[in-house]
Amino acid sequence: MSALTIDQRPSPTLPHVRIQPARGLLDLDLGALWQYRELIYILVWRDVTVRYKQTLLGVAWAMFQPVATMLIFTVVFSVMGKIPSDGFPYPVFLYAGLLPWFYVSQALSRGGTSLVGEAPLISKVYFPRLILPLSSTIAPLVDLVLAFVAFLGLMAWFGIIPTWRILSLPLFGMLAATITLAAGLWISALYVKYRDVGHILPMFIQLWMFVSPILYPVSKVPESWRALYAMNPVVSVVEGFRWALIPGFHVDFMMFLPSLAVVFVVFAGGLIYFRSMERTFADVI
Amino acid sequence: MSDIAIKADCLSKHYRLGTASRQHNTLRDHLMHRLRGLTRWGGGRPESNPSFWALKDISFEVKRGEVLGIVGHNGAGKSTLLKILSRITQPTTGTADIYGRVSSLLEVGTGFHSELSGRENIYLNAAMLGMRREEVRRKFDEIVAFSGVEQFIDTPVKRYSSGMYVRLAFAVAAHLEPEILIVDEVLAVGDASFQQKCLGKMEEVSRSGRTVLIVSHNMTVIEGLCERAILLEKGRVAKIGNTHEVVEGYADAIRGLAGTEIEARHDREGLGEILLTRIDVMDRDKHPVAAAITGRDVVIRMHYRCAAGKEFKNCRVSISVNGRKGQDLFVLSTDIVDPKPLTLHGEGYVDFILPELPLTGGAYFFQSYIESNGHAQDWIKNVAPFSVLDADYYGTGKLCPPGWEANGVLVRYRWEAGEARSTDVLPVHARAS
Repeated sequence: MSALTIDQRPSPTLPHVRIQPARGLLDLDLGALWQYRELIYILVWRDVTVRYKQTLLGVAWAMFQPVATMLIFTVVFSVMGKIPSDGFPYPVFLYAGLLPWFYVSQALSRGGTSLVGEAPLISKVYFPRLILPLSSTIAPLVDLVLAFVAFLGLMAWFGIIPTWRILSLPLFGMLAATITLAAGLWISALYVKYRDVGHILPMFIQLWMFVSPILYPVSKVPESWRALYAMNPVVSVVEGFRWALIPGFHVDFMMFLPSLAVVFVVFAGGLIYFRSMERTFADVI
Repeated sequence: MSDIAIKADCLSKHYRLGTASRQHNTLRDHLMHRLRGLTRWGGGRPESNPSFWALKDISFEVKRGEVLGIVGHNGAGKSTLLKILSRITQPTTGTADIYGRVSSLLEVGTGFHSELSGRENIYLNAAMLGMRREEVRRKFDEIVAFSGVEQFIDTPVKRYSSGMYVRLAFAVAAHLEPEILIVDEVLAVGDASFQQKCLGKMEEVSRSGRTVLIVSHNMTVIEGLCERAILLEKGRVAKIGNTHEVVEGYADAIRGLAGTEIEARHDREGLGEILLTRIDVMDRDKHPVAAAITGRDVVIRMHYRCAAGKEFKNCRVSISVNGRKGQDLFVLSTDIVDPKPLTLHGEGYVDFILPELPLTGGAYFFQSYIESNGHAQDWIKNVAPFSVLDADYYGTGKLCPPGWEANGVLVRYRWEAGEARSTDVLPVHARAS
């Protein structure tokens, strides 16, 4: 919270906190985030635990969902729709894209609603509010890992042996998390103020899927549109995942630059916006 | 400087009244508003929202180890003050310096998740309240024992009764070890025995040298635990200092209906030559108060007016108190307690002086009756409400059991215990606890 300055005087040993109206936009107070790291951990743990409590399949859902979606989409878009996949088996091509997309859509819908969903908490307890969108972004990573395990099975089925490139996967995973957090900061803070966001969000996520190369290859996008298309950061994530998982998959890394710039701007703007809105969360929510 | 725990300096909090209704405002409204603004020359000024100061220039100091009570009506700013001190919301102006770790219990059970078990919720809740996992692990057994839900510790809390839920939540909160504890109405929950356990725990906490801030509507709790208190009125400090004085000030401040509008009543029975015009509830010093306090002296003043130029002999003026369910609890009547003849004429009043009001806290009703020479002159049922604030009647720090609010007459008594088995053992005298 930008309103606080922790004064670490040697004596007296009691921590001193000064409460005052907030000033400045860029006081990120990451120290407070570090202090509350256990809360982040426990919220992530809670989200993961609660999600599969009292379900018959339990954690298997994290694998079942993407696999089932992959099968249906394969029938609809490949078998019936004849959508190409750059010469790779469509199920593998599709699943490699669905893998990060499932994560992004899930983390986004949870992160976006993380503040409003925890309204009682916000109006009753102090903690750095950033923890809520942050932990909602981290929790679905567990599902991502499980869905990845299912992907290994799929690769084995098609007799595909991963190369060293698979080691770069965490990097693209982090990129996906950063994008989601960047968008989540904006969406969650806007949602506190404008309840329309609750209606817009699912639509927004669906649209986002269609402007990302999940069902179709980037090669199907007209050349003249590519530059604009590359502004979508999810393009980089999906292409990165495919590059890391599918041997022989070709990626134009120059396409990554615009999206990295976009991520940076959205993330920095989101942090500033979140921080400035944070002061009024408890009053408005 | 080092013995100060909290120092608030001119804390103020400003709210736009729009805020509350704005929370469900939509993006569409916002955009439309902007558009409308644009069409006007110079953009037009958005009409300013009415606003108010929830807190205004609040300054006070709390010494380390002090237990401070905060009282006031709903909307006086108590919760806002606690929210600022616990960093949930920010002040608009002013500063507060806080020395030491703060834990606030603005509501027990915050962050409990119904799908998780009691055990899991202990860890979750503790983390939210700022306790380290290591610390929770160390105190886990103690917390469970305090809550008394050992058997159900691995059951999801959605299957708990509300009592169990609250007990578990309070148990976690009670085992926090901050230097400064902020508590809001925690004791409004749970059954009587658990409330007492909580009260004991709070005393223990305050004795252990920790600083405690308590907001409560229960004057017993405030009087029992706090040496000093603050009375907030409309966002300002109306009174600060000795708890007893502040509590009296609070009772003064709740000016209710008592003593108003009786003249306009038409639901009277009797000849009507003598009319009751007003009832005042007053403290021992005959200052009108809106509420009496359990165990304190109270004066009930009945104002009357007689038909012009007439004198009424052998009069009886009486007032009875009805409980919550309308049952008669006791009657105060001029003739019973003192048989001297009472003659009324013109206008005047009769005071009933009740030492140590023996009623539990709550809302009661008066019933008034005036007669002369055996003829009913004026009889009004439910003539006025009578509010009583609960306080410590027996001086033991304990309240009457729940369910007796506005329903119970307190009597002085003592008890002894004896053993049936042997005749030569003297009864054991109950010790005052």
